Amino acid sequence: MSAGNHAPFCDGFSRRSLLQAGTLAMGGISLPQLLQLEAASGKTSQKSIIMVFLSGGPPHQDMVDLKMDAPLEIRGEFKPIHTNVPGLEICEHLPQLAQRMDRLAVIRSLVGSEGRHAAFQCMTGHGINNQPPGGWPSLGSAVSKIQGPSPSGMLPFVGLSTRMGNVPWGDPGQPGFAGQAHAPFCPNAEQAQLNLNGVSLDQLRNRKALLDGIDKLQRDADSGALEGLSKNYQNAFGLLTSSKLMDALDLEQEDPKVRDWYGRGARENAGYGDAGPLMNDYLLAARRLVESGVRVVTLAYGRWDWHGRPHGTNFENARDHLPVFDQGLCALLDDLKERGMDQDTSVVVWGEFGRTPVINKNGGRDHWPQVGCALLAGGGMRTGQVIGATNKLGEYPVDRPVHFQEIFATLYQNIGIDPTTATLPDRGGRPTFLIDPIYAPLPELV
Amino acid sequence: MRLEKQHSFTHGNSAYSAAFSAKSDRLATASLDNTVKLWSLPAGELLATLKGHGDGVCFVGYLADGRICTASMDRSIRLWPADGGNFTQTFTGHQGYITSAAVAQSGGLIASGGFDMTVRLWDAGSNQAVGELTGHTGNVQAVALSANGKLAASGGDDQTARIWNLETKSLVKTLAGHTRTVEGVAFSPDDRWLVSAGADGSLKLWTMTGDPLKSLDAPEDRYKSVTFSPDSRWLVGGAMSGELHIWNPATGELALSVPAHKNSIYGVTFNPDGTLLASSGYDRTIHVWSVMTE
Repeated sequence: MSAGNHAPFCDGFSRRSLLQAGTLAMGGISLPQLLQLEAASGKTSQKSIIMVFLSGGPPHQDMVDLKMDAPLEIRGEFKPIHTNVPGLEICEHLPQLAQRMDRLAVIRSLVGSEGRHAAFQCMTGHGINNQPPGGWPSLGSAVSKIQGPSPSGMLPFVGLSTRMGNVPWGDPGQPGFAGQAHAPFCPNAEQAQLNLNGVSLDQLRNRKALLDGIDKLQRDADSGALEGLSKNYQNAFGLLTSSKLMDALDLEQEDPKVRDWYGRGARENAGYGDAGPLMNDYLLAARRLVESGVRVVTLAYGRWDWHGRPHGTNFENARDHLPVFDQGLCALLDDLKERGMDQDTSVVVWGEFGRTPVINKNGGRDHWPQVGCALLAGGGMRTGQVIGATNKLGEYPVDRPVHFQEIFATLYQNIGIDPTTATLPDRGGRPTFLIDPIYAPLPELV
Repeated sequence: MRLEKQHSFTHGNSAYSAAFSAKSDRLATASLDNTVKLWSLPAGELLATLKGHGDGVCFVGYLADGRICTASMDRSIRLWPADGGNFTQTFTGHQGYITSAAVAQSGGLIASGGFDMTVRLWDAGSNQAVGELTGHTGNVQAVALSANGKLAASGGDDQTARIWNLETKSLVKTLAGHTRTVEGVAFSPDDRWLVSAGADGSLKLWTMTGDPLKSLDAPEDRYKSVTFSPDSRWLVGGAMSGELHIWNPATGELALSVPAHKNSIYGVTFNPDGTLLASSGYDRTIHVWSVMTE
């Protein structure tokens, strides 16, 4: 099933136009091929994961690990506030989150960062060097490979990240040796523009225009152009024109009050344009997707690489991002809870590393792979706690360092995959553990 | 002195600067979203978006002939037609981010300052670079041009403000006293004062030749931007708290403080007759205020 055949059908309805509708941002594999592979899988699960990647490395000491005993040039401008967990304080600019910390676990001692400006490690748990043949699969791709689509037939893995100037930040999760069939569906990436005879995915915002376009395509198809195509082409067509995926992605169907509750957000790329937008609509889309049966949703959110002037100080950027983040994340957590989805949906919020303790001469903080932070919620985990601690200056862990792969082990376990036994064959056929066997799910959480 | 908000305009990212046209029928706003927007006044409608810079636009101003001048962190200064469209001229030469700029009230002189620790001078008429003022030992964060066309001022991370002779392209005086970055400098339109505003929370008034006069009674804050009213009667400071503070420079007394933005105020500017004030904030918003004085 090649995507390169331009031969028209005898009625002029070309195979290419169907393939445009069916070719997703999956590194070349078509949706029909995906459906074939999905049909071969019999595994199902109701659990899900939403991963929010804070592109650029969020400042741990200005968000969830404030260092009030440090000198001013380290502790910065912000003050801590009490939360609804006794003894736990977080940044004053996260007031809504502060009232929900009983539903979150804070990792203050995240270690093992490879120090690259990329989503790769947050998506796979691994560094980019010394990968097995085929490359490490991302969390979503591994889940897709092992568990397949949900019983509802929804795609297992969706990446909502946009294309952005710093391309590695926009990595939604690579399939690696799980195979191209398990790459994410990326509706916001340029190369994944679904083009239903001129109706682009972007026009999902205008449901009527979309339906008009689909209707025309439907009429063409009803004329008999689909006869003779394989069942999977017809399934692909059906999936794309079905209500479920479209509905999940069509935020115009959501109550405007819910969208306002999340905060909608800015469509423009954050910072000076090399990262994705601070788009709370994507958090809402993530909820809708997991609600419809998607197993793993990833998204890049905002730009957190705050080196300072002239692009604003670390604190100016924090005052810009944190209120929006506070609103959006809390809306997501509350929404999941109110819909009874929180126990089955694990949420992880993190970036590729932390930031320098000492504020630089331009009012910013630079990269600090030595330690970072993460927030975890849902998934049946024991929340309302802090795991790990850093020293007085926020430089390194002094208690319970937590490796990226421990969090991955936890997430795999939450979604029903035993990380201590689950393997996938790498491209050379060698059974390969998804994470290094020395790491296990965090006993503090599961 | 009273301010009443008339408009709030937004950009996709933080707003750094704004400028009123000579007739006050347009407001140009510059942003970290790499664009400049043109708005109609008093209607407040978006007329055009100027695209072409490759990084945030830190300054926008109107030349005497009505053209729009922008300065960007992409290290370039560009000139645009008054009604928008594509840029028509580009000046390059800074070896680091440009942080600030100013345009002369008459003629085509443009001054810019940046991370290469220089103040550079450009002539819009001849399309030439016409000067490079060196001496700062840290990033230049602010520049200003005097109304009489004879002087430039700059402030920077070396905690100094400097006055420059535009004819000889030489340093007149280095003004010390701030204990943190000098974030803003401005000459009074009556050529009487220079003000320097700092991240140390102080505003200092100097003579045009750099003699210290007084420190203004400043609320505890840090200052990012500063400007005089066209009649030199009022001095406005935009603070990192998001507040606008307004002084009577003759007496040094604080006249008014207004909570204006949710983040640092990067730019403050009056319209030519002093009846409107625009404040540009890191909160992605530009507010236009009516200025009412007795």
